[in-house]
Amino acid sequence: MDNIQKYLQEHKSSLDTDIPDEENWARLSHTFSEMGRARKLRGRRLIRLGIAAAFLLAAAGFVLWKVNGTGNRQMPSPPTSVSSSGAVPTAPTTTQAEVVNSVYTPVILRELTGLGKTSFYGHNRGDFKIFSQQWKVLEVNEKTIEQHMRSVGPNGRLIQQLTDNYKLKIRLLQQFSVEINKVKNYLPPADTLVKIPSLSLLNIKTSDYEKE
Amino acid sequence: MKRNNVLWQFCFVLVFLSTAFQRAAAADNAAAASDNAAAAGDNRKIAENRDSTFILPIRQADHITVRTSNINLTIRRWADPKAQLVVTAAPADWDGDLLVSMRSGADGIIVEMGPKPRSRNGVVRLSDTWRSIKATLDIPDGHEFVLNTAFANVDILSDFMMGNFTVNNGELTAANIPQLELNTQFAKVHLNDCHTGDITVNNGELTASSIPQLKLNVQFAKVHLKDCHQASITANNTTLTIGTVDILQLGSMFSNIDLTTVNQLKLTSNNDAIEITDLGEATGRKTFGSFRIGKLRKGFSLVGQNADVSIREIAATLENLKVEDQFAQLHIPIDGIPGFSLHFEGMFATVKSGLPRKPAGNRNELNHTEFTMDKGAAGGKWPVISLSCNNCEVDLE
Repeated sequence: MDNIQKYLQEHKSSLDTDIPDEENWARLSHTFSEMGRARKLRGRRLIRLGIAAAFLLAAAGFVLWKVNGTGNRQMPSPPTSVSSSGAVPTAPTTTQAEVVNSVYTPVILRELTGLGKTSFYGHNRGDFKIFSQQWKVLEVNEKTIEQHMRSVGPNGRLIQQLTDNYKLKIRLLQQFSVEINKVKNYLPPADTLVKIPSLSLLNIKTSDYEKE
Repeated sequence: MKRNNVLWQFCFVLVFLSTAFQRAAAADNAAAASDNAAAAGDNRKIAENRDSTFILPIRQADHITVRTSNINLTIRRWADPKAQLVVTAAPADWDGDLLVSMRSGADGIIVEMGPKPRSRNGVVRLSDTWRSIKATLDIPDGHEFVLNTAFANVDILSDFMMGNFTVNNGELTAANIPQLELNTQFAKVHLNDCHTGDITVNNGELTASSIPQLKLNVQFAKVHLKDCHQASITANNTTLTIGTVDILQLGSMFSNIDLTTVNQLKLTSNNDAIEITDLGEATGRKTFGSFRIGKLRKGFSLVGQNADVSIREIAATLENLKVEDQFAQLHIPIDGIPGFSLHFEGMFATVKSGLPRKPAGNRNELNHTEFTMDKGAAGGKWPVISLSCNNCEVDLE
């Protein structure tokens, strides 16, 4: 508080010599109350805007989740909004899909770890491109099955398809290992050949399977 | 302050527009439903624990179109020139309404069946109890038939002249359809005695007895066929088993293929395990994987890359055999046939054979092998065998 303010506070009563009349008091009082109401309104508007923004963000998040699916390999729960009986005799639950995931994921990780330790010498990395392309095809199919499970609920047929897709993935890794070993066995190392780490040919993110 | 107001007003306008559009759409749907109801021959809401019968006269040229969702259907034949649909609704705690419509359209008879689930607090749920509803359609033989099913099992016991089936998440059994077009996803299909089939199977199963003329496109599936005369098959990530095929054009990837007898094969294969018990003749290309043949009768020509080839027995009727491959194991037991004329060439190759070799070619490179071998009386008409394989292990015994 500066000196002028201090002086005014201390000599307030002596300075109030000209008191405004009733009309002026009423006008001033009205002005003050209007200012208070405006402040309150502004606060309410800000709260409403915040709520609207939160809704919009939530909606955008939901849309992104629906479009992209889940990032990790855990089975998404089917939404409660739509489910179907399907035409299959059994009515398995999402838990079975999770069991399928938990059974096959460590096997895939084991195969990938084995491949990670294998290197070989070869002429051309492109010869093995088909294996990484096939892996992508299997990933897309897995997502299709999961998407289907989300929209109609898991049933025996979809669980079987998911299981078969995992088996295909494991078979692909085993086939790849066989082909790599074939090349290793039949091709003697030479200076013109390049050392190729097996796993680098597959273009697979092993971290996806390490999460489990 | 002004900017906040504008934002708030914009949000309000968005909400208002969205509500207005929803109301307009609802009004359109209501109008469409009312139009459909007006156009329909018989359009009913079925109550539980009740049988409902729909009957319409049918002309010889009429097509039958059936769309069923969640309602199992059996299609039977009868002699009367009319179509009869009976819907049997067992006692059940339905959470909604069952809508059934049977009407005569410009092309023929259209049947539509499916539940309209009730929404509860915005949650739409089709409970298992919908499966307690069954329908039977009786129609005379010989019509063209279009079927579209989802989450339903359909048994076709009637004979159709032509069928166009789409099956999604369900089972289909059909027989005696001369011309069939079938598209399935997540479905199981059993077919008997179809003459011509144009079939696409995605993520499902197909079992068929005999389809003389077959065009099959299949992926992520299990397919078992008894026999075909002529087949063109594209199989990806599939287990395919066929009994007998006269002429087969096969394009496959990452599949397991097991064929009992094939007379003529044209092959494009990528990383498959192929096994043929009895093969007449084959030509084609193959990369990776294996190709195992029980008995080879006439001819074989293959360009391979990392493709193992194994033949258990070669018949004396063999006319020619040619393999170009690399990084592979070849087992071609030519020692067992009465006569042949062979030429082999390859880098880093090991060849196992008890017969004498004659050096051939003029490449004096280290690790290059080239030789010829002959067996059988001179002047005889013996098969010509040409093998070229780099980085291979070849067993000719």
